[in-house]
Amino acid sequence: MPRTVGRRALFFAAVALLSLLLYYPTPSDFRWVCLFSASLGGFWALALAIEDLTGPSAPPRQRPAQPAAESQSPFAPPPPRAGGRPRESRPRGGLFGGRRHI
Amino acid sequence: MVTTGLVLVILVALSFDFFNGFHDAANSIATVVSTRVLSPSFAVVWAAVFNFVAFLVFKTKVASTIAKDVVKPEVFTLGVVFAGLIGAIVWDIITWYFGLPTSSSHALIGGMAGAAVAKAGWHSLLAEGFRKIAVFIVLSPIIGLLLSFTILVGVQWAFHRYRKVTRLNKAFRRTQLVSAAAFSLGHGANDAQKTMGVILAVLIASKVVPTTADVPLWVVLSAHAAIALGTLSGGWRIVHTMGSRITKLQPVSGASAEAAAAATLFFTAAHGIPVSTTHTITGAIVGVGSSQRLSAVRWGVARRVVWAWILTIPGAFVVAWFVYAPFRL
Repeated sequence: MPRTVGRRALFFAAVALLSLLLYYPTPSDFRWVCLFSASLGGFWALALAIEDLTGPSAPPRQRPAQPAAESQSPFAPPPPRAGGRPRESRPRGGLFGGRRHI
Repeated sequence: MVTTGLVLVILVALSFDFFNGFHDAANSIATVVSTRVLSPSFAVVWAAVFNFVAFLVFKTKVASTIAKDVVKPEVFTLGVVFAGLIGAIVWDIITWYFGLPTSSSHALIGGMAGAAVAKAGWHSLLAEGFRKIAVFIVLSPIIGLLLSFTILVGVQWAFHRYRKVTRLNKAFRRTQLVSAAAFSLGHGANDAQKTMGVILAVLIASKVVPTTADVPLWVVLSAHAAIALGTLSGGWRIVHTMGSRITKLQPVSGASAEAAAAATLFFTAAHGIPVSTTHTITGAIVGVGSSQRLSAVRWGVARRVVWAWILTIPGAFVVAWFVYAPFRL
């Protein structure tokens, strides 16, 4: 699957752009505030974009499971345990993913 | 000279301050109550105390901006200030009735400007002061948003390997006491000073104090007392609706949002920039929400804030213009 920049990165880029647009209307004493917020917004836009582009891509969506055919062999592997999560659906790692909810 | 008109205008200004506290009590205590760090009744008292003691921490630069940087001080008369206050109050009531978003702070500035223009024309407005206020209407929620996102991501990064989640949550619940107090301090400093500015303007107009005078202590104390009493009264009412109206927040998110909003309010109060405390905390909560995913944010609320940016100042301006019109006859 092609990796794309997510909505959060675009959102922070828009916030940074808005801060930059306010640079000239702002009185000269406070223009550094616009630069500060544009830099912070730009930093997060960049960090989130890098995470989107380099992090592990989302697993391909699996088709709904077909009703299991009766096993022909008594040695077939056992079905997965009820309630257990498949490895693919665990939270992503990376800069912002994989955090525990505190 | 102290006249009945002067006393009346000061009482109207203090009532405006009281209702500001009444209105905004929810902003100060919403997160501490929703995370069950404090009971609603104790949270109200906590916020009111810090609303009041803000005068010990901050100077009165916001008050000076309102009194001297928005409208030329020589244009202020009792009629102008009265019309400006009535314009702001009427606009607040209209928007409340129709369920439109508003900001009392911006309504006050719009009202003063409308009444001044009705008296002396457009040249009575001071472009530089207006520009500062207009820019920070947009910048203050943006700063709140970026700071809260940064604080929350920083905290999560710092503690993501910490396994004792219960102990961590307990620590953040304690932190929230401090952040809620800081936000109430910022709220008291910013919003009470707007009323101080109005009272200072009317005292200058009545020649009770000279144009260069600082805000008298009795004005400082009465404005802080009015907003604190408003918070106390508003809070009791909010106790009943608290359970259903507030989004559930984790203590760490609440503390981050409040800390970011408080930092923004401290900065603006220290530099004499009047901003909306409601918009600032809304921006901070959007920042906290967007640290999880954008769909976690209630964009309807954010959209209402943008409408408030657009509508409030012109709305209060027009109402105050019409209120002042009879004074010209």
